[in-house]
Amino acid sequence: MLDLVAHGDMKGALRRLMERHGGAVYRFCREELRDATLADDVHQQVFIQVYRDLGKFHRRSTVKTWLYAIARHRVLDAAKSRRRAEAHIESDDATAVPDPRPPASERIDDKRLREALAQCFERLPDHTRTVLLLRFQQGFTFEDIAHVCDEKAGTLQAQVSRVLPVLRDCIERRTGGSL
Amino acid sequence: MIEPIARIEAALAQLGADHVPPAGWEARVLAQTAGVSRWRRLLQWRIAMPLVAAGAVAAIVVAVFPRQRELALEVAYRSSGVVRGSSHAVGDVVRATASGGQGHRALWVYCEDRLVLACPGGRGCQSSGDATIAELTLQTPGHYMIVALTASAALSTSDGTFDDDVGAALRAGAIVQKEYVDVR
Repeated sequence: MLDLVAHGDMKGALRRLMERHGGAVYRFCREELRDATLADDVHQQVFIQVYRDLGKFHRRSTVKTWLYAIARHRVLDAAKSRRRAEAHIESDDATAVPDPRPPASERIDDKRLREALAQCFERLPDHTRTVLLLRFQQGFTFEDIAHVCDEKAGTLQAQVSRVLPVLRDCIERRTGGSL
Repeated sequence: MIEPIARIEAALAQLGADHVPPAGWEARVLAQTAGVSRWRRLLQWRIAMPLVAAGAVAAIVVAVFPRQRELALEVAYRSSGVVRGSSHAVGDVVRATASGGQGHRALWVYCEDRLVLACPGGRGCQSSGDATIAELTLQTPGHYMIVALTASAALSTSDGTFDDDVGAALRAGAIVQKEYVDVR
C-alpha cells in the first residue's frame, strides 16, 4: 500500500485498503453506532477521508492504527451530530448497588450471552465501547489503542479491566443465569 | 470450563461478526473520490491562481516602478596645478555628482554658508541619466559645502544660506548628503 502511495497511485492504495480493512472497519462502525444506515454512511466517509489524507500519512503509526484513528473520529462526529442520549453503566454500579439477581444455577448459553452482551454493550459510554471494540473485535494491542485514542496504554488497560466485570454483572442480571 | 471473563472477551470479539458492508460500497467510495480529486484540483487552482496573480502584480510593480536607489553624492576635483596637503586651491574645479533618491533631486554648493551654485538650473549644471552634476571652479578661498538633496516634491532654496535652505528642505522631508572642502 505504501509503495502505491509512494508512486502516486492513490486510487490503487485506496483499493488495497478497502479490500484489506473494509469489512473490519464496517463492523467497527456498525457496533459503535448501532445504526445500519448511519454506519454505512460513516464507513464510506472513512475511506473517502483516507483517500484525501493518504499523502499526509507519515508512517508515525501503522496504516491500520491511522485508519482506525480516522474511523474513530468519523464515528465520534456522527454520534455527536445524532445527539443520541444514551444511558451509561457506571463502572462501579455493580459493586455499589447489590442487584437482587435470581439464583445463578443455570449457565448462560452462547446465544443468550451474545444477546445480553449486545444490550449491555450498548449502554456503555462511547469511549469504553471504542476501547473494547478495538481491543477484542479488532485485536489491537493497548499500545495501538493508545495511538488511536491518544491516551496512555496503561490507563486503557485499567479501564478494560474495570469494565469487564461490569459487563459480566449486567449480562447475568439480564439473563438470570451465570457465566 | 472457560472463565466467565474469557467468555465475555470471546463474545466481544464476535460483536458484529455477521455484519458486512453493503454491496457496491467500494464502487461508491471510488465514485466519490473522483469528486474529491476534482475538488482538490479546483482547490489547487484556487490557491495557485492568487499566487500567480500576486507574482504577476509584483513583477509589474518592479518593472514599472523600479526600486529607488539611495541618494549618493560623489565629489571629484580637477587640480589647477599646486596641491597643498588635503586642501584644494583657488582655481581647482570641483565636480559633484548626485544620483539615486526620490522623484526630485538637487545639488547646492555653498561657500562660507552662502549659495554659489544650485542645480538643476544653475550655470555648470548637467543631467546625465540618473545623475545630477554640478561643476564649479573654486574661485575664492573658504569653506565650501556641497549638498545633494532628494525629495518627492520639487526642491528650492529659500534665502540662499546653508542653514535656512537645508533646514527648510529637511523639514519638508528631503534626504540630504553633504561633502566639505576647504579651499586656500
